[in-house]
Amino acid sequence: MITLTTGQRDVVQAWRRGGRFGLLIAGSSWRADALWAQLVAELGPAAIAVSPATGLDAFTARADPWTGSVVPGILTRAASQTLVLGHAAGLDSARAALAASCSRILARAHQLSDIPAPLQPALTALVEPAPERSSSAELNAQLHPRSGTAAPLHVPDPLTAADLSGLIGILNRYGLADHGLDLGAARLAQQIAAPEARRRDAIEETVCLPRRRQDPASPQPEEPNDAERPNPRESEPSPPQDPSPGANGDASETPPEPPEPPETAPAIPKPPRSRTSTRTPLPGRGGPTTEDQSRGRRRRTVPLCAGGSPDVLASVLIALSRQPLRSSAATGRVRILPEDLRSRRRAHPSGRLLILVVDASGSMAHRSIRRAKSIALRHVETAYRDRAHVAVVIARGHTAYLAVPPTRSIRQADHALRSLPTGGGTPLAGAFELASRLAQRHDAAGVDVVALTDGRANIGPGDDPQRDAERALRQLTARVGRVLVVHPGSIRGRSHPSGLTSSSAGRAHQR
Amino acid sequence: MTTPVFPFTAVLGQNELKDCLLLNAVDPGIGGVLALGDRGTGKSTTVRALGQLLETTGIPAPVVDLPLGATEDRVLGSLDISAALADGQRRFAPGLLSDAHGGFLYIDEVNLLDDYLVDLLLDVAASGINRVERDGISHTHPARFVLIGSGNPEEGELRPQLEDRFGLATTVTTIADLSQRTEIVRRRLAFDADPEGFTADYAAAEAELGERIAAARRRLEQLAVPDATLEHIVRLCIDAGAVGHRAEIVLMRAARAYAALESAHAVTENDVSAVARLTLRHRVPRESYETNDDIERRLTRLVA
Repeated sequence: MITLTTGQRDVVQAWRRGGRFGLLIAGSSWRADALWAQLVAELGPAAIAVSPATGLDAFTARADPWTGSVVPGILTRAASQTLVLGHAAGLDSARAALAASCSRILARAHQLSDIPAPLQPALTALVEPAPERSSSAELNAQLHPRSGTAAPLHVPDPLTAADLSGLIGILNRYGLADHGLDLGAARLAQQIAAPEARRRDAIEETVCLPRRRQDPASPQPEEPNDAERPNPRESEPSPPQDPSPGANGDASETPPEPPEPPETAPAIPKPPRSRTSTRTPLPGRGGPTTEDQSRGRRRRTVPLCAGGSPDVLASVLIALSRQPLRSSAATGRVRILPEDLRSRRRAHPSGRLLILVVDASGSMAHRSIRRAKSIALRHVETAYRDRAHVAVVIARGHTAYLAVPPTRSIRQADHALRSLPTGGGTPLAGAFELASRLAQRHDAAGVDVVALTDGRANIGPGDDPQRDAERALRQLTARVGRVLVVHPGSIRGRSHPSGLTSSSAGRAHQR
Repeated sequence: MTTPVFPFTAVLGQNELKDCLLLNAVDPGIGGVLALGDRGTGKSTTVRALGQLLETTGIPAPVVDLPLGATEDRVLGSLDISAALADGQRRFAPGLLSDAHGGFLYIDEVNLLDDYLVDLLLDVAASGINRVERDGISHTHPARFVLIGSGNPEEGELRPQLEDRFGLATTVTTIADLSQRTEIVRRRLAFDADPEGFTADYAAAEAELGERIAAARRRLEQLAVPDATLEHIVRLCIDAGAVGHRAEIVLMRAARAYAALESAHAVTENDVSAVARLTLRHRVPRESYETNDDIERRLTRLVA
C-alpha cells in the first residue's frame, strides 16, 4: 500500500468507485509512479489510452473504408469508460481540447501547470503522494504484490442540495469559477463515502489547493496577502483591472502606463529563406515546411515501401488502373496486390515565433515605456495577422521572467503588456538568456526577437551587467533568425541603445 | 441517436448564445454564430441541444459535427471506396459538407482547426456549392449550411476571413452567481442520474419553443421591412464603420428573424437594436490598443 493523506485516500477510493471525474497523479516520486501503475492496472484492458501520437481522426466516429460500417471514435467510447493519459503534458492543444470533453480521465504529469490549459479544468483532483522515504512495508508490498488488496468500498451518501451549494462555495472561496470544474468536483464529492466535513476537506486538499499554488504569470509568487486578490486567470471574468500599485511589494514600482496611441512600429527585416525543420513545429505560416502524417496539404503519393501508413484512396486508384492487366478482370472483382499500396505525403508550413523582450525597469521613463508598449502591441498585431506565436519576456526587478509563454492568443500577450507596471532594476542579460533558451526549442530560422530597451542594464550574473547583457545579446543573435533592438525613448527608434552598439554586429539589426 | 442529449430549455443562462442560435434556426440566411469564451460554459451542449430541439419539432435542419481531426476527404467527399472495390465503379461518396446541406455545420474548437481545412471551408461557404475535382472524381453538389463555431480565445485567435463568415458573434462567459452555478451542477447531475426522466420534465417547454420557431419560420417571408427601418440599419452600419456589405444584410435578416420570433407584424427599430451588437461586434474596425470592452462600449453608445 502507498501512504497517502486521508483526503487523498478518499479521492482515490472515490475514483475506484467509478466516479466520473478527472484524476491527476502528480509528482515524480517513486510513490507517484507506484500509485499510477496500480490505478492503471486496476482499470484493465477497458481503458482508452491517448498519447501525443494518437491520430486526431481516431477521436471521432469514422466510416471503415473496406466495409462501410461506422467505427465509434474515442470520444464516444470514453462516454462510458476511462481515458488514460500517460504523458498529459505532451499533448498538443487540439488533442488536449478533445480529451478534455471526456468526463472520467486518469492522467499522469509532474505538475498541473505542465498540462495544456484546455485540459486543466477537466482534471478535477490532484493527488501527489508525499515524497518521504518509503517504509519497509511499502517496499515489501512492491516485491510481493498481493492481489485483491483494495479495501471494501462503502456506498456513499447522496449529495444533498445544501452539500452542493456548500461545495460550490468552497471553490468560489478559492477564486475558482469554472462550470466544468464545479461539475467534476460535485461528481467527485458524490463518490466520497465519508462524513460531510471530511468530504469538504478532501475537495479542498485535492481540488482547490493545487490550483491556488499554481500562479502562472506572477513574477513574485510569494505575495503577502493575495487572498483578497484571486488569480486573474482563474477568477470569474471581470473587466481587466490594473493591479494596485505596491501590490507586488516593490516600493519603487509605478502602476502600468497605458500604451500610446498608434505609431508606426519599426518593421522586422525580411526573413531569410526558410528550410525544412526538425525541431518542434508551430502551426502557422512563414516558417519552414513540416511533413505530417495526417494534417496539412496533400503532397505526392509514394509506394508504401517508402514508409508511412497506407492511403486507402491512393492505393485503390492505382489498383483500379491496373485491373485490365490482371487475370481476375473478367470476374468483375478488383484485385489489390501489395505493390499497389501507396502512402500519402502531407506537409504544412510551420509558423514563426516572435519573442518580445520588454524592459520595464525604472530607467524606462514614463514616455519610453508607453512608446515601448505601443510598439510591442503593434508587433503583436502583425504576428496575429501572420498567424505567428508570441512570447513576452519582461526585464524588471531582480530577474527577467516569462510573462507569456508562446501562444497564438493575442489576448494574453495584449493583457500582459497593458497591465505591466514599471520600476526596479534592468536584468537585461537574464532576459536575453531567457529568450535564447525559449528560442532553442524551436527552429532557429523561425524565431524573431524584438527587444524594447534603453540598454541600461544594471543587474546581471557577473560584476559588469552591461557587458553581460552584450554577451547575452550576441549569443541570442547567433541562435535565432532575426533580432531587432529598439530604443523606444528615441524618436522613431533611430538612435542606438546606449552601450549595446557594439553587439549589433552579426545578424542583429538595430534601429 | 443512442446517447441522450441535454434539453435546450434546461441550459441555464447563456441567453445571448441561445438567442443567436434561435435566430439562425428561424432564418438560416443569417449565416451562423461564432461563440467564443470560457471553457466549460456549455457552448457545445447548447448547440447539440438545438439539433435535438429542431429534430423533435420536425424542422429539416441537421446539425453536423465537423471534428478537428477530419481529413479533407471526409469534409469534401471523395471516391466511394467500397463501390470501387466491390464492382469497380467510380462513384462519389458524399462528405460532411453534403450532410450539412440545409442545416448546421458545427465546429467545436474552431480556432484550433487546421489552416488548410479553414481554406476549404471558406471556399465552399463563399459559393454555396461544393465542387470536387480530384482522385478521378468530378462531382458538384450544393452545400449551403449555417456555420456554428465555438472556441476559447485563450488557445489561439480565429482568422479574420473566417470570422467574417459567421453572421453573428457572441461571447460566452462563466456565470459568477453562486446560486446559478449550483443550479447548473444540480441539473447536470440530475440529467446524469436519469436522462429520460429529466428530458421528460422539459418536454413541454421544448415543444413550446419548437412550435415558436416553426411559427416564426412560416411567418418570416411575409414580414415587411419598412424603408425607415432599412435606412436605420444602413446608418447604423455606416456609423459603426463595419467593413463590407455583409453587415447590413445580416443585420436586416437578424432583425427580421427577431421580429418573427416575437410574433410582430413589422420589423421596427427596436428589433434592429436588439440584434445590432451581435451582428456588428466582430465587424467593426479595431485598433491594436482597444480591448473587447472598448468595442462593447462603443457599440452600446451607437445603438442607444
